[in-house]
Amino acid sequence: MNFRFWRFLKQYGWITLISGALLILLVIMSQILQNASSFADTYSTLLFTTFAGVGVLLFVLFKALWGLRLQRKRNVPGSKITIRLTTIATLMLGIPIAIIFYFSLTFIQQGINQWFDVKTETALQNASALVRTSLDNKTRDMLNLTLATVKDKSQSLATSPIIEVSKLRTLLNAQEVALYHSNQQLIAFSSAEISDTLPLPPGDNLFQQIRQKKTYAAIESHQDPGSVGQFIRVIIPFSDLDLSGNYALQALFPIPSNMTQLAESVAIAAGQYKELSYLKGPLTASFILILSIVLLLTLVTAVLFTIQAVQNFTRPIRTLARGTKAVSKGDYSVKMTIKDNDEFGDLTQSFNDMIQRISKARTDIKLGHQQTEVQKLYLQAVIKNLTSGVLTLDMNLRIRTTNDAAQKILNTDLASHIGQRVDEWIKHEENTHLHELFAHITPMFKQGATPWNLQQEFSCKKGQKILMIHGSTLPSIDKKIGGYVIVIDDVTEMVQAQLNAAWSDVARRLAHEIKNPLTPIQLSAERLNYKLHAKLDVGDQALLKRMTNTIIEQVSTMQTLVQAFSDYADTPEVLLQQTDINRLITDIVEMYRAPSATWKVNIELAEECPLILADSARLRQLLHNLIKNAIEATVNTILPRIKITTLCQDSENISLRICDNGPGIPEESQNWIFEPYASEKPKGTGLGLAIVRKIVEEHRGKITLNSSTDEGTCFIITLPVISSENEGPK
Amino acid sequence: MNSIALISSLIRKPLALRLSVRCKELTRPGHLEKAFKSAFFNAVFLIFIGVVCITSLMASLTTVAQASDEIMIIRVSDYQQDQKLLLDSESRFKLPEAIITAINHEIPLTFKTEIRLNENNQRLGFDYDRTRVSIEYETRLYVEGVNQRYFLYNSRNLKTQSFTTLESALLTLGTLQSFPIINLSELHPKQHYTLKMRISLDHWQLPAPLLMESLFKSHWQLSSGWYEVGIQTPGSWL
Repeated sequence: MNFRFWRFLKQYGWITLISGALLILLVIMSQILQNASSFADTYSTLLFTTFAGVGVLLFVLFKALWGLRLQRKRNVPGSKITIRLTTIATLMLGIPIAIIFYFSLTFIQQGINQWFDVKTETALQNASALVRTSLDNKTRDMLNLTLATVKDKSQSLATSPIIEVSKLRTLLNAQEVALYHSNQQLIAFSSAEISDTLPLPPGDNLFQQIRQKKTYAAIESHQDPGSVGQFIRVIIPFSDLDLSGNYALQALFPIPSNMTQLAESVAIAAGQYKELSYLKGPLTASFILILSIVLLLTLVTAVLFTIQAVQNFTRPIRTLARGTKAVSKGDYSVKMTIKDNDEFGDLTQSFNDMIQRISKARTDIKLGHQQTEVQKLYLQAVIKNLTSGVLTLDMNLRIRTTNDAAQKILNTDLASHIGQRVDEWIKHEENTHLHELFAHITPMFKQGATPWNLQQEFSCKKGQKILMIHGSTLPSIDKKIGGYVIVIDDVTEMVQAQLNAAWSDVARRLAHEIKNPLTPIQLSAERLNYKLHAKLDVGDQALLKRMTNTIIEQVSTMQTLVQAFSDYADTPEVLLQQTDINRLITDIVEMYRAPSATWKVNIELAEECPLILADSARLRQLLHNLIKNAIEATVNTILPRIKITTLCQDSENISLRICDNGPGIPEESQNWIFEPYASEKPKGTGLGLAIVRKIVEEHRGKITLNSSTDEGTCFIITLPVISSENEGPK
Repeated sequence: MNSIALISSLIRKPLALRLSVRCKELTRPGHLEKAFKSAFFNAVFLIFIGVVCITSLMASLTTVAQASDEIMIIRVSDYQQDQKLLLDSESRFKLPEAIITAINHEIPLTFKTEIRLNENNQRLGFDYDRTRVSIEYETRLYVEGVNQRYFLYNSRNLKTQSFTTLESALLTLGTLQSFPIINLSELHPKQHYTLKMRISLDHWQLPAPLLMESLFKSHWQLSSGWYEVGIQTPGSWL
């Protein structure tokens, strides 16, 4: 309450104070004007003070209007309303005030004009003339009376002034009679009042007149502060009979107080009327000036009050606008103070509540987003690190997300095609290898929400793969199907391993089943030849020999094949020993360096290669297989070259490279080249590289292939060196 | 005492709050300059308004009209008598018709007579005058009574004289005889002195409705202007 009171005082108090003070000054000034002759000395001060006060108010008004203009320019909330309401209020006040001013002006002029009319003026003039005439007549009468008396008594006055003066006073019925010498010396006097006071002498100018022998008769007022009223002073100069002395007789005749009063009242009335009639114009102008100042004061005060009141009224709007602006900038901590206990206060309170709720909701959403983000990152990390390829599509079959595994498996760049439809994406020339795969996948999307599985062979530049594809729909809040998810697993290695296991098993069984009868067949054929050769004629001997040789050769071939199967399926346990790989390579290469050979085998062995743990017999088989393959691969090459290189830079592994300058292995076949019977060669067992891979795996190494039509084929084998952990027997 | 304490607490707290809020507003960065400019502008303007008003007021109150022919000081002569410096003066009044009409309509006029005795000095090559004596008195000329007599009231000796004609009243108004200025003993024998006199109509003493007219109409601006005479060196009188 106190705060509101002080706020009210601060905003309106000073305007009220100044306006009130000015109004009081104007009232005083109007009173002064009506009482024209009095307090004129304060009027000027009041007038200038009023001007100064009005000037201050005008300055304040100008300042307020200027401030409003600046607010309007800066688009301060509430400024437009303030200007509009102030303009309306000014018009609403100004027009009636102007009308009142006009009529007040008219009334003032008419009123002042009505104070003065010819009849009143004439009456007053006549009254004054009447009073003047009657007083003049009385004065003249007294003069004549005194003249007549002095004429008779002049001699006795000269001789017995004291007695005669007294008699004369009684005769004339005067208040006082005094006899003066022409040199202003008092000779005798007589007064009706018993007093020691000497009579009031005439002034020097009167004595001058007396010396000029002129009579004097006039109405004078008493000079004494204690005496009121008027009297007739008559001075008669005379001389004694022998003209030796010049005298002056002064007689004072009282004028009856009622006559004096009446005369005075008439004089005052006439005087005031004359003064007012003279001041009519200036008075009208002064009243108009005061009225104008009152009008200006009223208007200025009203406008200032209006501006202040409207600004107070729009304060809640400004507060709300500030709060809204702060909220729009993201500051939800703003809380506006509620100063008014009205609808605006309720609105402000509601706004505060709303902001609080929004802030809380925003915080919750933020937390939710953060958690969602964390979940998303978690899932992204999980999906990214999955070995299975994950591909998500929206309901329009546009790619939404993918992981690295999917790109690796499908051998294509999926990330740059996110947002594209699948049917557009596979049309790219670099994605032609996906046509067949997606030709099988796309119809599965029409199955609806039922999850589906598909195993599909997939050919790409990196080779043939076997893919296990799982698909399902993604949920949606408003729609049935929000999209599709495809999970692709590369089961090639698993299938290969299964194949290998199956091959090994078959090979073992076959080797075992086939191997046994081969020796008896070979022996039987040899025995037949031995037993029947002597019993046949020459022709039949030759036929028998040819037949048995054929049987023996084919059995031998089958034995070799069965042996290869047996080797592949059932390899003996490796005997790992410390082996010098360089020395082993050197020994083996010597066997392939025949002068008549069309190929050339070069070696480039690293110096100081560490020892490896290896089964030298198996390594020999490995090297033989690879060198034989290289020779066979370069059979059509003009200058077949085979190069064997060892690199021992890595402290943990040795790298062994066997390269040829042959035509290379087709890209499609590279993935399967280490599988049994992957080779398209007409001769051979088809198990050579499969055995090589098996040997490498037994030595805990790796084998990779680099092949191109320009540079030929390189088999790169990485074998671990001996460390303190795996140091075996020497 | 309790009421005083209560009142002071009522005033102190909101005042302190207001001052605190105002201080915070004023010292907020970015607002200091703006607040300073605004306060400076207001202060300058108010001071300007105040100076203008006060100057106008003082100038209006103190400034007398320019010298006019309506009042002319014909003679000012000084002489010494009875160890006193005395003054005789004669002035002629030729009042405009509007003034005479005003007088005849019983509008009282106040004439201000100013007499100054200045001591002429020189300091560091610059002339300056020191006022030794400054005499001001007012004489009110008014018409009263059914006989329309003219009265002169002297505020110095508080005497009133009546005249039948305006001319006689004005003659008396313009005549000074044996007007005492200063004792000779107060004057320096070798010093130069200047006697100045001025008679003017004090329009601030006019009735209130005539004040505005007197500021803007020239016929109310009656003044003889300063009439200066250099008096004899007092040393020659001793």
